[in-house]
Amino acid sequence: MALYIFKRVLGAIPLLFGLLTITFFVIQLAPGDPTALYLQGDADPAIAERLRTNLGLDQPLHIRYVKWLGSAVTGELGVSFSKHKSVTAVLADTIPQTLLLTSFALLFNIALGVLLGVITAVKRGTKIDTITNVFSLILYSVPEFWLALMLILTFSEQIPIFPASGIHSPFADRLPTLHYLWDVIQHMVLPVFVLGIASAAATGRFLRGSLLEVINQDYIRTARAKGMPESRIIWKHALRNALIPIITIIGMSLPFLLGGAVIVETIFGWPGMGRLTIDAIFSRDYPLIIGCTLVSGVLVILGNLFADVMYAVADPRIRFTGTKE
Amino acid sequence: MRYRQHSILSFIVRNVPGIGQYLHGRKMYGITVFLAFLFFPMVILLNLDDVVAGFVSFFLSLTLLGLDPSMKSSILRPELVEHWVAALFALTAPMLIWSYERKFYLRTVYAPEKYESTPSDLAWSQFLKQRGAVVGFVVILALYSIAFLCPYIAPYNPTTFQSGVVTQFREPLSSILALRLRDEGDKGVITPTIRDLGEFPKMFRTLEGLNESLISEEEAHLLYIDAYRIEADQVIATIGKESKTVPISRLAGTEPDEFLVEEFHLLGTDSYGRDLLSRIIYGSRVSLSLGFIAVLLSVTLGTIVGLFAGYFGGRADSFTMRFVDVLLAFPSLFLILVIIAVFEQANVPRIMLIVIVLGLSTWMGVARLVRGEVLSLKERDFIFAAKALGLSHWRILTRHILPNSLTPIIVNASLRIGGIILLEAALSYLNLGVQQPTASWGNIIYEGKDFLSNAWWISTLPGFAIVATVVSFNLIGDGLRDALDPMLKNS
Repeated sequence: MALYIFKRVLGAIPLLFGLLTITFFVIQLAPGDPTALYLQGDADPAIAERLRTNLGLDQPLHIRYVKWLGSAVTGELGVSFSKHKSVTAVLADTIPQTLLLTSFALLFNIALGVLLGVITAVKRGTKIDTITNVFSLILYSVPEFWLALMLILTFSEQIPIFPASGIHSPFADRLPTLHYLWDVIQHMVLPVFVLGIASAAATGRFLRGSLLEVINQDYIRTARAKGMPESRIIWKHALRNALIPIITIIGMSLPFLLGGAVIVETIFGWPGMGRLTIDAIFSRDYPLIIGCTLVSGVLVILGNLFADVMYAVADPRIRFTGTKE
Repeated sequence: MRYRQHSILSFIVRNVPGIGQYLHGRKMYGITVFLAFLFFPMVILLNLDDVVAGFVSFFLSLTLLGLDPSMKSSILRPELVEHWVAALFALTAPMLIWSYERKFYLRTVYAPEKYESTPSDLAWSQFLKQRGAVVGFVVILALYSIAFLCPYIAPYNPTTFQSGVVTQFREPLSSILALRLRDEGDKGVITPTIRDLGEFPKMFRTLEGLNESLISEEEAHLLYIDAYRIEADQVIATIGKESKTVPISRLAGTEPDEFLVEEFHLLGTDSYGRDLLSRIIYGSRVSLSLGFIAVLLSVTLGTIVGLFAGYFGGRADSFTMRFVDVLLAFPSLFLILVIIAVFEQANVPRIMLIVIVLGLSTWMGVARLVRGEVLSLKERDFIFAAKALGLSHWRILTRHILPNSLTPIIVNASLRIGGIILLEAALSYLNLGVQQPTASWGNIIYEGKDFLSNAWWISTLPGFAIVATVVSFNLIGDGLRDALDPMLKNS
């Protein structure tokens, strides 16, 4: 097992390396001189030259690449143009807020997804199945920013239950802890719902398929023949095996929740990674863009790694042959 | 069901799409095909002038272009191309329906023993059994027809706007009153200044005249009002909080039904007083064509990469697939945003840029899929046979491997379009999409978001169009998968 995990981690290293390389060269392709971002148009050419030396821009591309790679590996990502802080510090401030949002969205996704999947698989071919399927299909096809706007329209404008934007109300940090928590939870309801609902529909559809496959197998028939209650068959015997493909979805949605959070965070004014990326792109803050891309890229790789390892934990066959089945 | 050869009934059954299928028992199918076939002649009849003008303009322009290619820039204008496409589509679509439906009917129902049915007939019959997929297919065809025919179907011009208290933020189902002012003969101002008429001035003038009739603004002399009353020889109009007096002599008639125009806005108007329905109809062109072309690009690229990686294997394969893995590690939205941010200054039209970006950032999944397919096909006997025959790699790839891996590619492509349309809308929301005044579903929603509390309809209604489109594409994808994949047929 340890050997398997070790192998997978080794396999992820070239990926990280490739990610760093592509990020570097994409940014190099950007038209215009990076010093122009620091200086006024009519600045003294001598100052511009000194700045170029300071930023290391006077060196040839391959030297810059190696240097950049070295500093990126040690976690040194430069200074953000727009926030005037080191990129690492900016990211460290922002990541917890995104994680708060996305971890709840992931929980919501799995809980609702499993519920939908089990209901549609058990009630296969009935009206409940059809209606739930149509409903999931629609949820799956809704543009999330539109859904967010509609929810704001309904639950913040027409019936003001939930606040439309922000992570907490202004001055909420002066409230007692419990009230503060309650305030944050209220702010989280809408974004978590929007982030989780489409993926919950996808999880549900996926789980339905894998449950239907499992239900036809011999050991389920045996369990039925023994007179085991149906609920126990489904929840204990069938679901445990049907959940294996869901592991991939969880692994895949780690980074997806972060990428998907771009839109949702922008709409709900949530101060997380997604908003940070958008701000970085619009203010052409290249060090910050690179930092955000790296974080999300690393998360994708870690997510895939996590999925692979969990697969191996759940299904011993993979551990021994090295591949699925 | 057979009819006597050469009887009128037999002729009708064979040639009017849908009738034969209806009589054979496929009632819904027959009715739908028949209505679809009937829709186009109706559109043509209702817009006969425009269709004829569009046609003549198209062929005249073609002739002129052939005679004198230097006139290209003054002949090929986007607002005219739109009319040409609409006119051509209105005529070709019913012909296509007729010809396909006729062949399908002859082969499967009318005389199956005489005409051998083809594999595509079988697939089509399978597809027709998937009820959801058929519904999706009909919706998509309708949406694309509307997109092609938008000059005929949209009630108003989507970009002309009357800013002002009267026209903006009108609710759905509302009407706006307007006074038609007398044409004061200032039309001469609009006439274009004399320019290069080319070598065939007479022909060019005729063309100009035709084009003028196609794209001219008919209602240029309107004064939008909230209410009016007539006092002696004056009309007193209320416009917002002000009132304005207009002498009847300046109006285009003396009686109210001569000078009064009532514009009906089914879905209301937006912040500039533009008709929302027209904008949604025109917006469908951007969203639908962008989705389609981007998917075409991404699937073509992915297929090529996947084919070569899978077929040649070895180092080329492992290098390519590692590269694909790295690209997949960038969440697509990040990748898109970075590409747009980087290349924004380059002089590429926005729509092209978005198509390229969407295509280039989504091909990796297809490459993986195709590679997997090729890897399994490569070990099959018919490929060994082809190799033993000494066929070239190119021939094996294009004639043997590609056709056999087409099924998952098609299914994947149809499931992908929905996602790409959603992505395009999301880009519009970040104001990185198609720019105003061109309408796209995404940018209508984006524009309406600031008026959510006082004009809910602007953002809400285009969303339904997106949902309908994406749901339909997903339904078609699911249906195609079930119809084309014999393994799943009975599950």
